[in-house]
Amino acid sequence: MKPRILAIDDEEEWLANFRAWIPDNVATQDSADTTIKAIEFLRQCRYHAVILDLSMDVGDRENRANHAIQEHLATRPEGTPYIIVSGTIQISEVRDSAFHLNAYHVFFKDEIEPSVVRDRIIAAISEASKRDKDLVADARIKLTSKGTLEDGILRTVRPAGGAQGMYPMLDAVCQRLAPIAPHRDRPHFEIWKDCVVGLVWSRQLGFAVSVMLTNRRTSDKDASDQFTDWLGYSQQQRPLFNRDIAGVRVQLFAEAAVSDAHFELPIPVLTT
Amino acid sequence: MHILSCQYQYLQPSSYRGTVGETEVPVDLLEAFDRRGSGVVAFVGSGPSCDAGLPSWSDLLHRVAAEIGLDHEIESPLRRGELLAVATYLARQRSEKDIQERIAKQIKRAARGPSTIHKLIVKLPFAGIITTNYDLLLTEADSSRNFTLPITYLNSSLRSKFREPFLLHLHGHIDDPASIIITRQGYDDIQLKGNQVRQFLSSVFQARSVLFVGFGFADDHIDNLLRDLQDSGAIGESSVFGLIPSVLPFASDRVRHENLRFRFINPIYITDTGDHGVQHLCTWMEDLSRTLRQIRSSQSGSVKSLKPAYLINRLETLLASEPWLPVFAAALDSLPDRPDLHHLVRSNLSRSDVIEIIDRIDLGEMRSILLFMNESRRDPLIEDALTCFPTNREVSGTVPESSVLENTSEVIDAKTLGSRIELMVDNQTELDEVAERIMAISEFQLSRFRVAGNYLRFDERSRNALRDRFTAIRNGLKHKTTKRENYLIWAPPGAGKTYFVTEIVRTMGETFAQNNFRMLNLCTIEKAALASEIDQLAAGRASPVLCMIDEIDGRSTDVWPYETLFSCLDLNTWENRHVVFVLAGSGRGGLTEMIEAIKARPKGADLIDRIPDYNRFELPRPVDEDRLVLFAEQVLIASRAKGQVASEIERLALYFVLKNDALCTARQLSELAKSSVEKMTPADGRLFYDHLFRAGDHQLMRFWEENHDSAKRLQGTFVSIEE
Repeated sequence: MKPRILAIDDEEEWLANFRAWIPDNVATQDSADTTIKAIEFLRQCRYHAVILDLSMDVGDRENRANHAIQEHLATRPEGTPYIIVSGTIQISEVRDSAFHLNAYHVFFKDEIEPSVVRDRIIAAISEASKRDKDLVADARIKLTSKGTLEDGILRTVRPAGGAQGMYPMLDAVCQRLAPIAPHRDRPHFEIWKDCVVGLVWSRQLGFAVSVMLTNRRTSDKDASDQFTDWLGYSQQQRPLFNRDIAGVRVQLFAEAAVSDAHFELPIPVLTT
Repeated sequence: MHILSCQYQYLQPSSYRGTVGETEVPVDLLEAFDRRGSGVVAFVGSGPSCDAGLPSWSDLLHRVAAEIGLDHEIESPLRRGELLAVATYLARQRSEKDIQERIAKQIKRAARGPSTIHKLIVKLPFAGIITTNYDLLLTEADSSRNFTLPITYLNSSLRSKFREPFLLHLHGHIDDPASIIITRQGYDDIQLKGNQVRQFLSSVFQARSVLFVGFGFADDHIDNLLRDLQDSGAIGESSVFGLIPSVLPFASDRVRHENLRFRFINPIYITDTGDHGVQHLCTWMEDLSRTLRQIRSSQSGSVKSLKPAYLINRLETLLASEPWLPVFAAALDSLPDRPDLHHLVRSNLSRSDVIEIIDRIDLGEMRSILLFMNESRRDPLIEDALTCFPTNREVSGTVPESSVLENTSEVIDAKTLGSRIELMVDNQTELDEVAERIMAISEFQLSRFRVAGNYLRFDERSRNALRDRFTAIRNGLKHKTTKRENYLIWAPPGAGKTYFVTEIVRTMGETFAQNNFRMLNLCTIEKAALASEIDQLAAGRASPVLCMIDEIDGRSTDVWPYETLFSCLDLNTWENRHVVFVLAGSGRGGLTEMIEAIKARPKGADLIDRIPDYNRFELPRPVDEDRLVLFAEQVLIASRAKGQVASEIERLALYFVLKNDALCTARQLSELAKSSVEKMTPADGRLFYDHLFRAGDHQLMRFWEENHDSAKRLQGTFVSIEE
């Protein structure tokens, strides 16, 4: 899983700093300059670390503007550590409050060192990456409905080597998508005629992805027709991922048009 | 099926569709059938009974006259159509009672059962039926009892029947010959003196719409009644309809049409191809039935009622937007069995109609609409919405094409369909994960999950692993070897270790179970007793013995158990002894930990050493579905013991089993199954959620309330169980 971090700060200058200090080879970086944007990012993606400026309002002397986000991050969702950057002068209060709310580290802007930030972020990413395997395993459990769909998958796509072929195939899917969230109106995975199909929200990618698994013996046209029948529309884009694994054609398609509102994501849709 | 909005259109040639299934249904009639509408009463004439092979009124009079030797005298007046005069003459010649009884007998003799039209009439959701027929074929056709038992004008509480789905024989019926009206005086009594009947009919025509079926409009009595009602203002311009068989083109018979309209009857012309319109009448009624069913099911499982507000708002905005509104209209027009929507489209769909339509279409129809629109022009917004309306054969927009005759009852059908749709949709939106899994199960065919005897496992791998163990132990008993046939099983308490072994024994036969099986429990047996048992085994016969020693890791502070036991595990290596030992325990966290704990005790290592490594195993941990399978099996067993056959378990009961942590052991499930089966109703193979609880057990309601959403959806749906 490629590391992904989120920087939340209302000052573009600081966001630019974080982008400069943490190069792309360390992690893909998203930036949010408002609380609303930050919540949308956190709703849609899983991050290996979050840099959080507690105060997003110059009049916010008590550093409360992002308190809701801080409380969410305090639970370490999907193992995500967060690092506070604070411009306040009430250092001890912020530090106490931060550690009370499970922060991974606290930086004060007036004494910040770029190299230390980078090192801390790398350490935080390393901490969060320990959960990657669990999240992949969790995705597999979800896709197979706790294993109850495994027989159906085996019978439908008949991977070479049976179950031994099926698990690497499923892991290949999960490693590219995990963690995942289900669509409110569709199961994670479904047996549909000769295919195994699914539409999930990939919190790794930050968008909806449709999945189609078919045995190589099923013609491309038949598979495509069946997928269209299930989805309601035909795929026009090239797949994100298209590979044969154990004799099974594994295809993942980005569903850019599909709204996150239809998925059971950890944070509800913001209603303004 | 097509729809017309105004009666004057009826004669417009373009309004007619000559082909079967294309005859129009007036929108006023359709709306009257709606739950929120006034309701429709069928006025059934002699047509359906003639189609069922019963004699016409003229034939009937001729047969009765022949019986009493007056047939020659009445031939001329019969030919002239003076039927009432003939009936009155016959009644005077004999007596009214005699003729009434002869008519009843003639009809009973000729009756061969209801016609298709009768069956279709009683399946339609009429608010009531009025018939002029003496026969009881409508009642006979009404096997689902959609209507009350037949009443006549003699019924003293006629008024109270108005709110019920009544079946009124206006001229009496054959089960009460005295009620059969045959004379002018009888008709006059109803019309002039029978205030009760007149008031009842007036209420019907005022408050309901009326559809004449199989009625020739040649009955003077009914004609007079209609005229009276018309004069008193009881009949509205578009509340009375008549299905009129007619030879094409309908428009040519303007005289008849005007006569009907003069009496405020709106004709619905049915093509008569020489069969008095029977074929097309049946088709029309089947179409109407299907349409009404679809409308009702769409209303009860509407998109608006089943989908979240944010999605409804999005759909409304999308469908009402300028480029999409005409495409939406075209999509609506393409929906099958929705003449009500087609009518809306024809009367120029406006933006304000959209939200009302969303409240009147079901999920399958919405999917069809979105598919239609997306085919017309691909749009990301449509495709986004489409993901919320997955394809599903069960939730398709069209009602199955099966004949209306195969369905039970119109009302029940619509309800069932509605609840099924509701169930399925809620399954996707509100049910928790456990409920979802239970909804996915339709049946338990227990033989599929069988390991041995009655021992079942849901998970395929566990099942096959245990089958291998089962076969190995059984082979050890069937074939004498000189190897140590000893086994060590670990499983958590209540996971079914003993059950697994006893099922092996059971498959060896009753004699084996009685004479060759020893069951010892290390926690309860004393040293002397254990020594005695072992001595018996050592001194016993060469025939095979299975000895299970349960709680093998028990008595952890005593020194003697393994000292006493370990040497006897060699018995099978003797030429003349055939003993298979199964040692079972559930302590510690698993097999390895248990072995280590045993080894640490005096002679424990020696004991373990006598169990071949490949004969040590854990019973795989049961998955949730194992609990369900086990529960279903225990229900079957308990019901058989009770002399009853359990065939279905309510999903809500299974949900309770999975949600209740106290029911995680085979023992607990078995006890629950037994006590539940005791409460099952004799002759009903269904085990309900309520059967799981003692009378007055508050847990019943508490669990329901705590899991209200899922419970509501799972209640009343069943998983079938069979061997």
